Amino acid sequence: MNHEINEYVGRVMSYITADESIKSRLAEDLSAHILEASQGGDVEEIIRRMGNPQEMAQDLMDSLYQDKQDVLKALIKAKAEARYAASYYEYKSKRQLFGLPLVHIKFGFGKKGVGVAKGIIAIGNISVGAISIGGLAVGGLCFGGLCAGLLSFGGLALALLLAVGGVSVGAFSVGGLAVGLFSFGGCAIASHIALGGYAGAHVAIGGQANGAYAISTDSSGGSTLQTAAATAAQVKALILKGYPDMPGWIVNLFTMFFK
Amino acid sequence: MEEINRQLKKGMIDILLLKLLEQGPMYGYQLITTLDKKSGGVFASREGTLYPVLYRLEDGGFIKSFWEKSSDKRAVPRKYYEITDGGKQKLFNSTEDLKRLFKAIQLILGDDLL
Repeated sequence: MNHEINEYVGRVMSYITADESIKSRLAEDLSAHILEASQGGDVEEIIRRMGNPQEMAQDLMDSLYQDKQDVLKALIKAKAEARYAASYYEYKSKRQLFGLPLVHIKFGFGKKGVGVAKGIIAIGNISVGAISIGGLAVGGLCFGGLCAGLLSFGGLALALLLAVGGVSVGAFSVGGLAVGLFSFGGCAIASHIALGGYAGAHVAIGGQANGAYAISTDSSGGSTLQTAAATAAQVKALILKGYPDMPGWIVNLFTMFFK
Repeated sequence: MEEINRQLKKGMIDILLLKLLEQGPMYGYQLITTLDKKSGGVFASREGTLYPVLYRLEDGGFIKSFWEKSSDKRAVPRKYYEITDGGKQKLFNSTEDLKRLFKAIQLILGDDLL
């Protein structure tokens, strides 16, 4: 389509306050109209006759809105949309990997919904990516209020491998409330080994420990890890008693807290 | 007087467009030029400003539109508007209302209207 028509129609639309659907309808019809009018004639002449874009926009708006109430509604809606646009941010890198942008950042709330970032590195209200940072983060390595992934760090962290958070659930979990195969935390609950203020597991070490094999020093009523006055050797022996084939690096993880 | 004139024209435009479309489908540019010619220039409007009126009529179900693609003879695609049964009914009702209105105005203005 003619560049001059596009430019003129674009400028007219920039002055119009209306729904995007109406604007797109108007732009389409106005372009077709100018094309039709300029058959066998001069586009510039037609555009000149139509008047400057601001006047044309004013006439269109006058015709578009029948009374003051309609105008007010449109203005308020436009204001709300402008506020949304101002709070909205998106960046998408041109470089891609596996069909996904290398970096995608997207923040915003509004009629278009919550900003969802999807990329190798994704940052947003909701983020999905190999490295994912967001209010709700899903992916490989995740940081967020609520995150789920392979390695998760967040308020509520769910992970296949390592979860660290206020509440954490994972194969290895560390947190205020930690639930997993191996757990460390204020309240640590595990199927295998737990270490914490309260520890509940097959092998449990803690201020208050509950398990088939347990070291607990809660006889005085205390329930903090510091009160578990065990030595590294005692903890190691306890773990190997419960799990004779437990890999050394896992044993070391649990004994590193003791002398 | 200019404002009254403008408002009167604005109030009449729906019925005039429906009347034109009653004769057959027409595209936007054709409607505007026909309106201009048939009214002796009285209803000449800035090009393109009739489209919002057409949208209102279309959204109300009184007319419908369809695109006719460009051809060898004509390079420009056209969007035609055609009247619906609802539009015909609206045209009839509006014409009756208008008759009553003009009759009442004539009773007051008498020969001044001519």
